[in-house]
Amino acid sequence: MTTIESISQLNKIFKTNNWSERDIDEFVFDNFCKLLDNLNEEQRKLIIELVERYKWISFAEYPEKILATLESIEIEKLNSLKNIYLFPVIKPEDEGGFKSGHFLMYQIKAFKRHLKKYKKITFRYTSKFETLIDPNFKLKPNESIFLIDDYIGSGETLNACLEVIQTNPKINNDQLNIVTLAIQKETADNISKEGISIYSDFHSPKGISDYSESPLLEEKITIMLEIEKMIPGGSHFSFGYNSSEALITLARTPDNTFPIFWKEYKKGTQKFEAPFSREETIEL
Amino acid sequence: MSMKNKILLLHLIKSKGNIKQLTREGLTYKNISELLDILVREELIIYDELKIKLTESGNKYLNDGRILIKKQQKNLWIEGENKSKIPKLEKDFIFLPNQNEIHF
Repeated sequence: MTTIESISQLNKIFKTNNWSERDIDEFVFDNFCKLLDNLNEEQRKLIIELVERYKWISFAEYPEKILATLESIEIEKLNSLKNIYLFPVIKPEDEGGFKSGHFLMYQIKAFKRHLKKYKKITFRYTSKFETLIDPNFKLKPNESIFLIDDYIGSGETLNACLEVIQTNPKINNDQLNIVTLAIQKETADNISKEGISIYSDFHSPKGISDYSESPLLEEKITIMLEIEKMIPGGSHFSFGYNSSEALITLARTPDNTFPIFWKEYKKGTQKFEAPFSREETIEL
Repeated sequence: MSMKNKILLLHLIKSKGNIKQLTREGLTYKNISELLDILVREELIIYDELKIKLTESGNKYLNDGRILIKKQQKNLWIEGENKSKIPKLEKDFIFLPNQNEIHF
């Protein structure tokens, strides 16, 4: 596949997914094209294949997506509920920080009246663990906890959050629900086994392993490893954090996504920005 | 989009040439993808699965217009190597080398 052919394919993908309407589409498109031009034929082919599977949920889509996810919950379950406690998926050390869960909770708060299935349900918003693990806190049969986040990757944050909540013996797993815009399929499968319900708009499969079989699989893995050699420090995030092989960008790109999509890379001595470059943030 | 850019893109598709020739002309990647759409609409190129090929009329269009991308004036395609140029010395200039820098 020549660079021109790959740019043409990329353009088709942008149009099909309506990515051309996004605010930063030209920046992303431009960096994608530079990347394609910096690769060889087979590497280009693999990147195009992966972009076809790529999920890009923009910041502007958050309210619509989180409301749709809440509305996707079974009516039978909701009819039996009177109170729902909403809590962001955070680690204990992130209490008081600014995480995507907080941001989504605010949006739910602002748009609650648009939720048709929740007219008779009261939402109780909290972001302090102490509320849920207080010895006097008890969930009644008509009460439930919704844990809110935009993306759940390898599930480390979620598990840390659950560990704390589960210290309260008066909260059962069947009263816990995860409501997220997207989740790694593997993580969702593991959490479901514990009897916790998961509601998500998108279950993210593994970008290469879930789509290819041997010997094509090994070939693609070799090509990707070759691409990753262009990324300084890329081996730490090879195939995404925890080898998640994610292909997703939300308001930010999670490190579970293949690093070539979000990490700066080098061709010779020249540095190039990744298509969905990820700005590091510092929280005090 | 100028006819010259169309000819150049057709030439690059046919010769599998380097796309930098287009970006050097001032086209963005977005412009290039739009130009590709135009070439498809005007039936000058066609997709064969993932490959792009010139149609018969595309080939004719390229041959008829090739003159546009032929660089005839040498000052347009031979660039002066100016980075090593040093200022001209005056006729009566006497060069006195630094004693510490003389090595034989």
